Amino acid sequence: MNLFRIILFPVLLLVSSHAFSQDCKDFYKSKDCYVYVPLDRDFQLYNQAKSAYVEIGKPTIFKVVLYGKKDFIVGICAGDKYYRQIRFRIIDGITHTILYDNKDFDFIESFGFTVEKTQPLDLEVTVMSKEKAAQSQKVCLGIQILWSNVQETPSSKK
Amino acid sequence: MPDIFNTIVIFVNNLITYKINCIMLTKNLLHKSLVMIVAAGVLLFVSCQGGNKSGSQQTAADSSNLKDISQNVKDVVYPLPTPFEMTKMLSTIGVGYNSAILNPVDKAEKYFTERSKAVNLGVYIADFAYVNLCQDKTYALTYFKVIRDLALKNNIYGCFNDALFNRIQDNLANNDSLVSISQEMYYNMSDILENANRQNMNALITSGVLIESIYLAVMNVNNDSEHQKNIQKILEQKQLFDNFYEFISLYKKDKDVKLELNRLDTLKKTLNKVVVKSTNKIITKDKNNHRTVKGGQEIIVNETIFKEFKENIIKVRQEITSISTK
Repeated sequence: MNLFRIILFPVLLLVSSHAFSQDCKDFYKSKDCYVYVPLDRDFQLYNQAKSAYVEIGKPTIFKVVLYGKKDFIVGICAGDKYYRQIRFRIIDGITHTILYDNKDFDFIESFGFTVEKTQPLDLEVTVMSKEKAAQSQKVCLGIQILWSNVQETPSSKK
Repeated sequence: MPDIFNTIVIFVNNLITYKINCIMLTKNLLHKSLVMIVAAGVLLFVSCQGGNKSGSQQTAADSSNLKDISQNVKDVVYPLPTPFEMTKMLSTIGVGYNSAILNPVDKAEKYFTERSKAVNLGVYIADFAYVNLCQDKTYALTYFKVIRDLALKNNIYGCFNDALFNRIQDNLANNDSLVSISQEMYYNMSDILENANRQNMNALITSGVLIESIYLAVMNVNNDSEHQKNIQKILEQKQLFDNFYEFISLYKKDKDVKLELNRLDTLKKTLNKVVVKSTNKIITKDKNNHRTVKGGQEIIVNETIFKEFKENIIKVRQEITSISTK
């Protein structure tokens, strides 16, 4: 019986661990991370989109470099029922100045913008929960980043 | 009932997240293994179902009761770009294709040290990205085979198998699919290493990718009308390089990573000489509510610095691809 336990438990744990990590790996591509894309625009998945396990209540920084003359849409999502809101801030990667805080926009979970010059940005994300039991637990967090070349406006074409 | 279920899920979640090594299970844990078998089974079932996320999404916002964000302790994630994206971005500078600058495949079997095997796996991955993007079908499979062999020598299993080889072969005529398959391959490899707690290996491979990608770009810059613009694009990689440097520094306790860091230091020193024109970064909003991140750093092109950077990258690349037993 002991031998049975010793063999079976690690096997099951590894299998479930694998299934769990697989779930998180592509989480940013899942429907839970769907972001609205204008129908007339062709946005592609940016290579620095990522999913990671994060601790509830603790800020996680995704250090990205966004290339200039491109439009971006950043969407954030978390895969656990404990979370209540996701705080999302865009911080200058060099000066650490806060450029955007979704707290000012009712914690909206996606944000579209143009980047003029290539620059490092810190995308700071905090999954927040009201439940005591959830504090310090880990959840899968996805950062969806889509990009497209800057759309020329009538004035820029002149 | 939901509370018990939640407790089980939290418990197993904790076990998995902290990557408890099964071999190191204590006697105490073994006594509880039956409970955990059930819990792991439940979790497996739940994860296969995809979970019900609607509950969380329907919750109304109420920020006033939420705990404040801790500003002191933060986790940092480095989502580094794939070699395919890097080469693609660098290819926008209008580089031509020159197979003579690739690292020859026959050198692969001569890499014996752990470090050279890992770093050169990265070099070959970047070369593979380059031949794919430049649509050189002759070399695509050859380089894939080298990557597969070196991956096995680095004890990386599960992402460079025969099935993938066949998919690449079947898609040789379709460049978009090939790039997409290759990206998937790279993501899988990174995930395998990350999940196996082998981030030091990941850092060494990515170092090879980064050096080779920049090397290929630098070697393709011609003295044409786009010269200044192309140099600027290459020097703009400084920001990416800085992020990578920060990432690899996390593993400097590893002797191989430390040696690799010494090499990267040479490049970092040159890149730090790059003159940047900084303006305050702000997000503006136009009348259509469209937001733009304005300002930031603009790289000022300097031929002397570029020349120094080019010499250094050639030297570093020469060092990492040379056959050495050290």
